[in-house]
Amino acid sequence: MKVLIADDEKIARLTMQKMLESFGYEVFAAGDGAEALTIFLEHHPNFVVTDWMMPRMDGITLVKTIRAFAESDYTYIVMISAREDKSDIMEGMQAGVDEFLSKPVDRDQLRARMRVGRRIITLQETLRHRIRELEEANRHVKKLQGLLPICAYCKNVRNESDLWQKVENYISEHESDVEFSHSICPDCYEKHVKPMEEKMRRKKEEAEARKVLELSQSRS
Amino acid sequence: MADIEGSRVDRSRLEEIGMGDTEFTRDIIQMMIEDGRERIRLIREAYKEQTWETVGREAHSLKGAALNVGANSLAELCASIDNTVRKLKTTIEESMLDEVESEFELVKNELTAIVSELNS
Repeated sequence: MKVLIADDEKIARLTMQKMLESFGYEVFAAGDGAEALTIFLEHHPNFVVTDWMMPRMDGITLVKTIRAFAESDYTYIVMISAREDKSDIMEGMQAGVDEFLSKPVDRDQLRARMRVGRRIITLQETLRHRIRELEEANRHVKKLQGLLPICAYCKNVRNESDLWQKVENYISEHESDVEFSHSICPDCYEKHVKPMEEKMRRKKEEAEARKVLELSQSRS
Repeated sequence: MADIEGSRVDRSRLEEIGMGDTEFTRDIIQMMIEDGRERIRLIREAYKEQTWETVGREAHSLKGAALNVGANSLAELCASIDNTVRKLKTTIEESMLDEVESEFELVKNELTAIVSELNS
């Protein structure tokens, strides 16, 4: 996972970098908020560990800007600060800070905060994956919703391109999980199939009667 | 690095940030000495010009660096200057700068001794 550090104080920056690298993170470092933003947009780190007071762009502005981008991947933000007033913490939280750490950064506390961040990021990723699956399922369901024009006689339906097609073709195109097996319902059997069978039976009897007649004429 | 009585530097902090890497510890100490000297020069300059925002900002930076190498007394003096000029919006006596400078000299000497220990 990638971490971006933003701190104008060189020693703090280097010590944090060394700690984070020892935890196994890939670390990018910036000396102020503006530089941090440039690196953020280029490398999309999973974490941002930032100081509050920095030249060019302070930590709060950096956090607000990052949150305004609202990327699909969640960025876990840790604010390093000596500011511990309730109002400062509220301001930080409202800007989008996830966690605070006081100066100087304690190695064990930093490691613990990063672990919490990893858990949150993993949960967010799982949640996003689930939402994608649900959206996909919902998209399939929606395809068969709404008003569908159907011919009162032939029962063909009009599709989105204003073309009339057989209902089974329409459904097969719009819901790939559906397959049709053709059959005949009892009513249609009585209405269509039975008369046809009767007609065929009569034709067969007529043909046989004709054959008998022809045979008796040829003998006489 | 054992703690010495009257020590100006918390050596356990140096051990924590160095993580056994003596070269890194040496670099950080050298950086602290050079950075501290420069910050104090800038604070003095801003004090003369009465640009209190700069006095506070530089004191704040020196405080951060001092905390990182375990120079806690120096950090406290810097925090006091920063709070006075930026939070309380009042001016400071020059004696506060003298105190910071004296403390910095003690810190610098101790850090230099630690570097010698690391080299030996």
